[in-house]
Amino acid sequence: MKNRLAILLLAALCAQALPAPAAESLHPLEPETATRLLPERGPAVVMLWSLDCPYCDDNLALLSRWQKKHPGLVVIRIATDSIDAASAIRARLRHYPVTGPCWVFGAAAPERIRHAIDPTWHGELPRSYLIGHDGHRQAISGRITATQLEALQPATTSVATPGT
Amino acid sequence: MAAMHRSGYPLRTLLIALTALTLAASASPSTAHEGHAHTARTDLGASAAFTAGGDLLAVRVEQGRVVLRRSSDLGQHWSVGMPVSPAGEAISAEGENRPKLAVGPGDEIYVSWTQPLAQPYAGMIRFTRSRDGGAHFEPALTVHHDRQAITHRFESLFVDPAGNIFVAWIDKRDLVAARTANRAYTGAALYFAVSTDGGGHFNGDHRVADHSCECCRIALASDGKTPGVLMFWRHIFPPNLRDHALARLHPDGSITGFQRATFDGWAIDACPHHGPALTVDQAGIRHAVWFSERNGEGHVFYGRPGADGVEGQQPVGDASAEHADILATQTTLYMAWKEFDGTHTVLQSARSDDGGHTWANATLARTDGASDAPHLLARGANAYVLWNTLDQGLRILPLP
Repeated sequence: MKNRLAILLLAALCAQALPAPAAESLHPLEPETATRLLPERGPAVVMLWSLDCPYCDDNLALLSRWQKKHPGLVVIRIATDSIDAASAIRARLRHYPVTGPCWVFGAAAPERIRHAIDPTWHGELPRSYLIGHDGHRQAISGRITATQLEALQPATTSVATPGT
Repeated sequence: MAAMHRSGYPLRTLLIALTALTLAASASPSTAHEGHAHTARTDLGASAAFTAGGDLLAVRVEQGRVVLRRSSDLGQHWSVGMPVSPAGEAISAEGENRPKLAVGPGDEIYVSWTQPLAQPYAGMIRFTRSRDGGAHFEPALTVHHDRQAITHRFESLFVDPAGNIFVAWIDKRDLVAARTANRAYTGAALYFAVSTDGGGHFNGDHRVADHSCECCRIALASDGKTPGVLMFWRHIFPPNLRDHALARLHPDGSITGFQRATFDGWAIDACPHHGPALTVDQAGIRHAVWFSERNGEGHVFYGRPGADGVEGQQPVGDASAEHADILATQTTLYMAWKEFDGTHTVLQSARSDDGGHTWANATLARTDGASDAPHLLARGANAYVLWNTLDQGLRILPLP
């Protein structure tokens, strides 16, 4: 309960005291929210990552570079670490500036949150959901590529590949 | 940047204050009913072992320190917690990390853990021992001689039949050296060190292999009465196949029998955060459980890795099965793993009395909250599972 209070206070403080860079605001993610986090239509990328995942850094760096060139890309980042690691999460995200919400796994059991996002996902990271402008959705474990991001744009819908 | 620091500072102070309040409120005196969590949601990693006299010992993180407890009635009552790690030293106990515990031939108690550092992915492998049944622990030492602030993490601890203490871990010194020389290097490396004097000091650092997976626990298992230990881990076979490998580590630092042990061909540049387990039965046959993706489907598998590939490979549990452990007693094989039924995390087990050909499953427990992976242990012919959950604390359940 007190943990929950700490998380709520932290979230409130993040929202109020740290409005400037988006990477600074961390929102605890609970299963109820997780079930409706993936946008219906893109171009959007929902990316799950953790502090313990070198390949996640590659994806965060790519998204940072890509969004600079394509500001229309919606990026939602979810750290599977706990809110206890908030300062380390912020420090990592500062390296890869991206505009878009930053979530972190909340107080519920991690398997509940994972299940709410995608029952078929086994927890490997990075895990990304690429959502095209037409709502086409692709789940990718591991590194994502610029070609895959390109395919989310309206002009190149025909090259979208089937989901894994 | 300056504004960031100014606004971030009071937040951190408040968090620390809140954490302190939370800890103070939950820090009830240690009583016979201890075993309940004082831990963060994710710091649930625990280990247990039996003493020669049959007492149960367990370690886990409580209020930021590795704490040892003893039980003489299979976990119904636990002793007052004994802190064994230095105050203020961070401990990795989330996900596949946990403090480790082993008992020596003279009932020495050995404890190891990974101390995470401020630098990303960096850590130190730490070790301490008690030679008076846990009344006192010696000052912790760092197992490896390499002291760079880089990855030395995911340690495993094992005492062989001769009393040699093996510690193996994931190490990135070779990756760092390759980067400095502008060379490519896949994954991490595995190193180990051995103490032949009961934990006074460690000889090392011995490299087991280049190109291991970066964030999966390592399995160490005895294969009989000879000194040394079998090591089983998730490796990266070219170009990026995250199958498993086996090797035998010797007390003199040598390595023999390196071989590929699983052949699922999971090609991925990702961190499964899902290491394997291994046990060897009385006949010397190796039995393993591991997670992999095969033909696009992720699953926990059981199988017997041998010289000519895996025998008897079969899926374990349902599609949500994860973090399995396996143990051979004199007559029986046991497995335990977690499943998620959409609402609860369910602790499942299975036994085989015919060498792993057929299995009888049982549901042991469930929990609503966060939980550690299950860990198997034996006392004589009886097998038990340790399960540390946020809601119910340390539990020891007999395996049917």
